[in-house]
Amino acid sequence: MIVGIDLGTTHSLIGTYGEHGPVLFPNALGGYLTPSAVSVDDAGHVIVGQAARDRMVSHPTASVATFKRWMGTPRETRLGPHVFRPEELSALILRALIADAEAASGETVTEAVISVPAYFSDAQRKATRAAGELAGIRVERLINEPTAAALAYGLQEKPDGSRFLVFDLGGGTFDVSVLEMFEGVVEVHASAGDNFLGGEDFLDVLEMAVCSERQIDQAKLSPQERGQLRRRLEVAKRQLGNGGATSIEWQHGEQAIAWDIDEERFARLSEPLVHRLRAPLERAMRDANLQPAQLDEIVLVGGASRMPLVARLVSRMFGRLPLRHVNPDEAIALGACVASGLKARDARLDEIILTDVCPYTLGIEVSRRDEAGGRQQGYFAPIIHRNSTVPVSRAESFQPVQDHQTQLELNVYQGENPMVERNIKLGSLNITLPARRTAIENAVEVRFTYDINGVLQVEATLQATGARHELVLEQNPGVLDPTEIRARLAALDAIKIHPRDKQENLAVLARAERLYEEYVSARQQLQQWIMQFRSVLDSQDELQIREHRRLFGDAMDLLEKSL
Amino acid sequence: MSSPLEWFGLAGDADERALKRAYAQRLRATRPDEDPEGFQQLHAMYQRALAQCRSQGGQAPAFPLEQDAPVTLQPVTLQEDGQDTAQNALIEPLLSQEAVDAIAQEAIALAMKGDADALLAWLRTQPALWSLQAKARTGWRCVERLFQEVPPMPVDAQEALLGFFDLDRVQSRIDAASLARLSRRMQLAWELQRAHHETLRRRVGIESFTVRKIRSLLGESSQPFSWPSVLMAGFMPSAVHRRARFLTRLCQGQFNDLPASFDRRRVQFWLDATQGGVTRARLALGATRWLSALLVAAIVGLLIAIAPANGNDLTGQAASFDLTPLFVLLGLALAPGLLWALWMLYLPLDAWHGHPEHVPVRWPWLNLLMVPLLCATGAAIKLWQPDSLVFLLPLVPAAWLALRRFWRRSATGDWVSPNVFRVGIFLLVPLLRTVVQQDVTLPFLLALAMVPWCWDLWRQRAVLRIADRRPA
Repeated sequence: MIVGIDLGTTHSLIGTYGEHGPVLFPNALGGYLTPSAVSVDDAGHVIVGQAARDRMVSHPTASVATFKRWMGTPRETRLGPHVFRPEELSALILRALIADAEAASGETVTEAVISVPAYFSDAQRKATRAAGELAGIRVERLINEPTAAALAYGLQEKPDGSRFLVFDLGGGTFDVSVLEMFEGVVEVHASAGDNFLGGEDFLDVLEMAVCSERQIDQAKLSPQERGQLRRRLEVAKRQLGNGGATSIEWQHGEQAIAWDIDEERFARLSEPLVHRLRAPLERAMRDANLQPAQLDEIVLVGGASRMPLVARLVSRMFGRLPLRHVNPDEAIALGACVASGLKARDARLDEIILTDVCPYTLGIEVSRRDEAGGRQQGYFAPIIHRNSTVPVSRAESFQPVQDHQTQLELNVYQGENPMVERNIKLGSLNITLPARRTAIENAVEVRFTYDINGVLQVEATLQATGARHELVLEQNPGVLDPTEIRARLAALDAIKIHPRDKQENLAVLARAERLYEEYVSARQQLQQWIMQFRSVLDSQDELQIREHRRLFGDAMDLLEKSL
Repeated sequence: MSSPLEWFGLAGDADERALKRAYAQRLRATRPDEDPEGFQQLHAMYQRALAQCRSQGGQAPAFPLEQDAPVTLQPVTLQEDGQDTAQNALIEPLLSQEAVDAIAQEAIALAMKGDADALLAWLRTQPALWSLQAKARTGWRCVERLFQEVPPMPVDAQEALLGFFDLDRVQSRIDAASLARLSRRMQLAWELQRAHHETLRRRVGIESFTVRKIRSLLGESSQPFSWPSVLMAGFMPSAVHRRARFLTRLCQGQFNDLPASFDRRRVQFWLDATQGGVTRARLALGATRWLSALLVAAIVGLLIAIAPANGNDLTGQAASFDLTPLFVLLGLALAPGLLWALWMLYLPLDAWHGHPEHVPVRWPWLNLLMVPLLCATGAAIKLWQPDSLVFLLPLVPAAWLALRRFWRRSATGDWVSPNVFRVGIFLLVPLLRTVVQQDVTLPFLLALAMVPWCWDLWRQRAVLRIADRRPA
């Protein structure tokens, strides 16, 4: 079975293209949204999902979330006895999702289409693929998140208009895509984005505001305190979305802190972030060569797009209110499911053809002659321009700097700045030139080929001799090589993960522990409940456990509401 | 197939909808994941057909940036009665060229104050710039004005300004080299303002320089050129080097970027004086120093000569002048000067003889055959007068020139590194002793000259173009 996976910064979902269109699979707790959090318990066993998210508050040093932001970097996280790279953490999430899908469908998952932010770089895409391999599945195709959302939206709503803009503000990333749909063709015109802008940043703004107003040194907050504060701010942020004002209460050391916030204030605090949202929108519109009035619809997806200030920004820029018929949390996952159906060549999707773009400019470093006749190095010569429809293959000719040059170094870069030092180096290729030739005789044709799976191939051909050099993009430090992946796969397999059927018990316990940390006044009560539940668990009577778990859950619901 | 539309099997006046239908149909047979090459061709054709369609339909591209006439925004109708009507109203009115100019002027004026954050804050609160078109036009107007006026502006303000309008991108249609030059010139103009000399001092990064020193150097650079002033200022060699380094770092090696207030001849003088070759500046400075040394030697010598005579007066003996110290001092001043003069004579010879083969040169044949000619002369003298050492006179320079030529021309290159010569120097003394004892000086020197010469010639065989080596 081929599945579609939305591997998000805060939540992940899995589904497939079933008999009646895209379907999502519920996790062990019965929900579609599995929090992208990983935790390790005292025995060194791994916990994934809601329980891990609750443990962020009670066991902050043994839990981790928002690691999607570190994809493509070699950053390592220590959790109890284990050390994980971001790929491995993502693989643990993927394994949990796959277990859910296999339990729900009864089929074995062999391959997946994973959605990634459109503005993910080469290294970040490679890391996502590696995560798939580490989870034991094949990942041939990645689909850009706004494109996935558009696929889901387009198939579901069958809109009259044909041109639309997808505004995807997730937990940690921001993407914009301008698309056109006609006759079953889904054509992406342009994508732009910011890989470090999402709901989490708005939370940071609130955290900073609380701390500066109450004269609290942010750096001195203990992980527990910080976890609690962020959780409460998260709740407050959601409440602000419903309008009006809200307040939080929070225990800082001995001190109980109450803080009020209203929507207007929140909007003012997050103004710098809102301005960062503008640039990608403008860029995408400019690259698509469209005026705001030429857009038929604007679709908001991603959990953070629920914030009212997002709708205000969009209406201010485009002169209309955005549409939100799709469920912003599920749209991308549903689109990934459609993409998995496309990948499997599902007959019902035969009419649908998707063409996407390469979101970055790709090129090489060149030197140029300045007015004084000297050579200036470090200029970026684009070969594939951003927002070219993929697959794309372009070639350009370059000459060595000097006559009788015998070596040529071809540095490949990705980015938008005219100077290479501000772009990202992807790799380099050394070419030996035949001796005793002038620069003109030694011209080299450089061909860039960017395929539908986002793999870049660089080929240099010496025009005089026809000798070809191919670039295998070097392993940069953010990317694992195949042997490393095999080694880490074995290491991951050796780690014990809490079985799926124990997830519900785990989640209830983790929640109780979180509440214990959060609400000082109810500690005694909670401690008693936890001990009771543990003794019921020890009885191993499945029926009794289920009944007690339900009661425990209801009791905690009541507790949370009353406090 | 003449037109792209016909390629799709459509009539020449087909509309966009028909084209899209035809494209979609073909796309099903040429899927991007199955036939990448076919798809690329199809897509390129589609783009061309689309352009043809639009030009026939009279649809202009969405961003007619080069157009002077103000672009009208189509009226926007809100789909729902929202609370945002007031804000939406802001982007509806069309921005006149005057308004665009005014915003650009204000933005540049703010940037010239040097506070990037204030500039960004101001730009973000401009309601007119929420419109994509107005923003694009204002951005272009700003760039035009920057190129015309080159206002003084620090780098971070430049980056904020261009970054806000998204014009610091490789695809912004501004030539990267021109933009880099503009940026250097604006930065320089900013730093040359009196209030920002401290910033300049930090960037130039010469430790011994104070702000005061920089001001005096800047003041000096705008004085018109006069020989006495430069010769006085450059009397100490360290002062010459310091000035050249300062000027180079000031404009980051791009002397065209220096503002017009700088005296070009003066700048050129300092650069010439520190160059490797023989220049007028270098000769003038050297000659001044030499003559001054001679003068001082003469005065001091005379004083010494007179001093004892005065002392003897007291004893009543007749005064007598001993001129020996005068001649010793003059000789001491003269000798380094003569060596320097010889060095000045040798430098052009070295450059001429050791030039890269593919660069045109004066007297190409003499250049090529210099070493063999000197060798032949030396050998002839030895045959004619076997006992005299005169034959060394052409042969030693021949060997030196051949080695220098070999060395210089392999510097860029291939397989003989200068290390070989460094090792050779250690072996030189025992080797020379053996040569003199065995009386094989002539063959040794001949080999020393001719082997590198031949070797060099062989190395350069592919580029030897004696016939067309004429000075450009």
